[in-house]
Amino acid sequence: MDAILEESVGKSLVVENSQLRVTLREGLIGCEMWREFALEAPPDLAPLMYLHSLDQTDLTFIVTHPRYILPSYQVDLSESDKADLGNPTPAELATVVIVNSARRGEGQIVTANLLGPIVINLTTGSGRQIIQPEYSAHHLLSETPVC
Amino acid sequence: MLVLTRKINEAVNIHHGEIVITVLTVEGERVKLGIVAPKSMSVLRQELLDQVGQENQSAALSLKESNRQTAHLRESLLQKVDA
Repeated sequence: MDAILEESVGKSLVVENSQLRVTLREGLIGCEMWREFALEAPPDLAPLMYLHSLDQTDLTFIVTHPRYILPSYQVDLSESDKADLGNPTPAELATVVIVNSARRGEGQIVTANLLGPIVINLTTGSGRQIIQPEYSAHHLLSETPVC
Repeated sequence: MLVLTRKINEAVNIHHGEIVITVLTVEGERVKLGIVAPKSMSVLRQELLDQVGQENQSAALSLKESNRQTAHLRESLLQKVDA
């Protein structure tokens, strides 16, 4: 079953058989043991996607494309990052950011980590979490009181 | 950790000059460093990496928790996009 996620920039992220294998050679920052993932884009979840860990059972992240959150969001890839990803063309490059939900006092706060996006070469499945210093690790999406 | 003491304008040479760190100014508790390194090497304030690491740990979910959270998160994201 193919799931197609239309990105706001007009590029589609095609996830064959519902999952794209993604390998972060250096792992997630601060969690280097988590390197192998499966990116899943169930149509009814869009624009959210799952990034399931293949290194640890029952571990997953909820991710989305950053331009859903901030249309002006730009990723600045160094030459070294590009080389590490196999020099993808712009069409081959996708970016996702991790969404986090936490309790704050009596309520719930939802944020996106725009400081540490994950860039992925869609052709090879090779990915890397990089730092974009001009953005926040806690970009606020919503803050709701818990009834 | 190798510990060296430097005065203003003194430098530390790493790996045959591949990386050079120079103390530029000292103002109270703030030290301004000049860093020369190959473009292939990322040079970042440590706290940015620490923040992302902590955020990764905090965002990791079990499948059961993620199923519980997705409806709420999706609503937050769509509200934000429409705003």
